[in-house]
Amino acid sequence: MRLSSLVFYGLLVVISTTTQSAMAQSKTDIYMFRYNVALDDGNTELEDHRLSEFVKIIRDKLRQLSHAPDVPADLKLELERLKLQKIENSQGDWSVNTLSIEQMHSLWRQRNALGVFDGRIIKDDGVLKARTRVFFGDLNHSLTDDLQIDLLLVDAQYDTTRDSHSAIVLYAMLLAEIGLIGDSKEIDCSNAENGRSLVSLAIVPAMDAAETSVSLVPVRDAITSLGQRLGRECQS
Amino acid sequence: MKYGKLWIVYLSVIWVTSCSATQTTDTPSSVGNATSVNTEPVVPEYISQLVFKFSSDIEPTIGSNAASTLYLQTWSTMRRAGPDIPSDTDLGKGITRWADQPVVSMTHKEAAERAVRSLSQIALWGTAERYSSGLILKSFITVPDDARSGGVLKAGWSIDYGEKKYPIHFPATEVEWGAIVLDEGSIAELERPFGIPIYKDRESDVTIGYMTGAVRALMFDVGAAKVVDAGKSGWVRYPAIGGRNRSTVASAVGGITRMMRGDYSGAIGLFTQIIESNGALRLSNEIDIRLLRGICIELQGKSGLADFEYAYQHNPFSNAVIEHLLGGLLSSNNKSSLADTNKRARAVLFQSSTFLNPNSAIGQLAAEVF
Repeated sequence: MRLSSLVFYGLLVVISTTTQSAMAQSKTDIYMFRYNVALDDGNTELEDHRLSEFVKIIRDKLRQLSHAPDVPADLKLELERLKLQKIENSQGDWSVNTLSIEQMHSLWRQRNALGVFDGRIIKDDGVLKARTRVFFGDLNHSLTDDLQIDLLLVDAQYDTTRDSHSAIVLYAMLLAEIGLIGDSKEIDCSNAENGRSLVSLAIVPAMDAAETSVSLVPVRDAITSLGQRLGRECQS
Repeated sequence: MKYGKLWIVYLSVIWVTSCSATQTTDTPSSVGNATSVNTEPVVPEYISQLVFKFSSDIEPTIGSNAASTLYLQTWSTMRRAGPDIPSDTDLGKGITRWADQPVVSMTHKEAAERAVRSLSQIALWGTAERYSSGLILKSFITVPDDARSGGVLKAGWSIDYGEKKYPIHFPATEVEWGAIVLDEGSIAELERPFGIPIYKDRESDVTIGYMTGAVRALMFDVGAAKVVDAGKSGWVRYPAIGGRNRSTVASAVGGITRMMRGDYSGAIGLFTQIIESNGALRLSNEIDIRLLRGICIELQGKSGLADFEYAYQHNPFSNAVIEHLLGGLLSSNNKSSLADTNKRARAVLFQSSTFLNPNSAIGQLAAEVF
């Protein structure tokens, strides 16, 4: 084989590996199934409206994350690209989750997702509540698999709804950024600067949300724990 | 392989470009690093607050009237004298301005630019939106980083060591304040299409006009203000947004304004009111207010460590919090070098140096001193 061909194929391999690595780091899409309704009063219009509002305020908060000061430029670009996307069926309708765990993993990988939100709308003492489950795919998180975020769909929980979901998204970004994905249990200190920035960003909404919703305490503690690990293992 | 080499070049260009896109590490410009300003900071003739009409897709009237109320609330925090202000102290002038045009989807950057253009040192802006069955006011505070505000804020806290001064970056330049949930009574008052009524006198129900934005306030009472608008003098009884007298966000704007005017005891008073308010103060907001109160206490020659330690206990990953705690420890060390202070500073440096900005002058000084 001629030298130029060897160089050509060698470059192809390097480009492919680097691109894959770049793609793995640039996870900026969060997918959301339509939440299942567990109401018996058939008032779907109200439930649709509340769910739409719920999605809107989370999207607004995610958009604001890129405006945070003192963030490294490449991380800022990723934050600008953060998007909450509805999972639609072939008819273009927002679909409810009917996937198995294996299928969820496939979806997560195929779409290069940061995370997937799934959940239910239930009634609690006459008040609508959103119960969110988070699927982190191959990210090595320290939360329990059955973590559920319970939030009343009332005006008093406006901030907590925004904070809780943005904290989870930032936590997922942090895991991806420092390489805690797949089989890797070691922190990749080459991205420690972005990791530290994400810890600083994530801890604020996490601690705010944990003050008003006990279901966010594990998320706050997980971010704190990762921050401490970064501090120990990636001394600057 | 005639085109093989061309492909190699083409793919190499693609590869280099994609690597650059993911590995760019431009040094960010920090809001706190006012060192980018080369002009000598000018202490302004007056300190100005800028209150924007709140934007809203759905409830423009409510956004406008709510902002008018917050305008009066922030203005009510202005003072030139007080029992705790020495009679020979001149606090200078204070002004509250009104920005009549809300900006849809405003950012802190835009708010800062507009504040600078209007010669203001602090801006309050936000949105009014429906959520669930209620109405939410979402407010933001922006303190622009330019020569004027830099001049004001740089007159703030710094640590003296040797012959040098080490400034500590102002902690609250871009703040998202906790949502104000409006009750039904307030919503009804804010829905008035012509604006908030101006009454003939404090108790009267005779309307002589409507407040639609900027008015000149003559005096304040709890939940009310005597104003002059279009040549007519009357009373506004403003809706109880975020509290009967004043919302915490208005108190925060007022406290920062008082700091800028050198009225540290007045600022401490407002910050303490915020911390002790019975409403749901978000922890992130409380941390900002604690840092600010700690700075004011230090500027009075006392120790702000209690507030800095509180902030650090709740968020040990924030560069601003770490800097302030180290600053408090350095300040304490300057007054009297104690073994406990040294020990604490070394522990903080050990635990948190990773989260300290490597260019932090205070961080470098603390590492040297302790």
